[in-house]
Amino acid sequence: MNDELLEYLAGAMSGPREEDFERRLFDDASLLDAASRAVDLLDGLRALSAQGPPVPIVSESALAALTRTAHVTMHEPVDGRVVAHLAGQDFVAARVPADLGDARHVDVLFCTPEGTPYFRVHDAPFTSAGLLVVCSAHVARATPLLFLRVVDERGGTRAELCIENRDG
Amino acid sequence: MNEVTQVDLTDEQALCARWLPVARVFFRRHVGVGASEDLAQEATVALLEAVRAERMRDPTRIGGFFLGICRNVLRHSARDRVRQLRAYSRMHHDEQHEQEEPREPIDRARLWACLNALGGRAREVLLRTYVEEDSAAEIAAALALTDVNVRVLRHRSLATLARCLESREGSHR
Repeated sequence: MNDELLEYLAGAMSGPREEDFERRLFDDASLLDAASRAVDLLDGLRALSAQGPPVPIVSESALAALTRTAHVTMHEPVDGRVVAHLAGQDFVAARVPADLGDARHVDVLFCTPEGTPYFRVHDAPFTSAGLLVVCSAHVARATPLLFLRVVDERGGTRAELCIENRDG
Repeated sequence: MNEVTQVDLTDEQALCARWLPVARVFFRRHVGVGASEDLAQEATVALLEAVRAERMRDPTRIGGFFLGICRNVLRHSARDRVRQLRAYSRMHHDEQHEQEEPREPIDRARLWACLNALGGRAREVLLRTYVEEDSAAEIAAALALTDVNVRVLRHRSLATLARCLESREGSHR
């Protein structure tokens, strides 16, 4: 994707450069495809958000905002495990308690039951007491057992959680 | 650079396909997503009307002419006026959507993976800007940055996201 176009959309160009770029944007047909794809990218971000939190690890404020518009049940784990009942729920939320007071960054790994990571949220939002995970009921139904592992910047495991999703 | 000498001003379908995406980018930059679609439609309709009324006869000048239209629409884009124009724009919108070339949409699964692979601050700046529509000043205040930092970070983050989407792996930082 054209870097100048992204700089323009980000509002990062100085006034004269922006004016010059706008003249080229309206004259140069080679920018047309990049322009369409850039708009698609921004539309894609909004579409992701409309489907629920675009990131499955959320802050307290993002969770509070979600609960104002959707049915969300918060689950507190017992012995590293949560049992979520999906009936009537739009989203499943669970607290992942962990002592993260000394962590600089944490990543969250989504793992198979065998412990193999298949998805990683880099640099997840967290507090010193842990973090929050949210997934849509649709995703939860497709994932009866969801294993999470929280790792710090050195790769050390800080917490693990199993979410058992029950359709009823 | 300038290909417009080949533009057939009587081909309104081609005119819409050529200029509506450019207008979308222009208004995304200046007003955010909220009113941008309406304004892009309005500007494109104004272009078609100018061509029909033969106020635009020289295809070699159409780029600058349309930029002028877009800037003029932007100057008069108060929210109340946008609401009044919405019905008018949508009337033309239906017609234009039939004329637009189908585009391959963004792969949402890959976009989701790429977004998650961004650093926390980069991700927050993008979501606050393009989903929440917070201003650079609001984001700067929330993240203890300067306006300039926000704009630079937003540019870098968009570029990283775009590169990720275009890469084969897609989900790797």
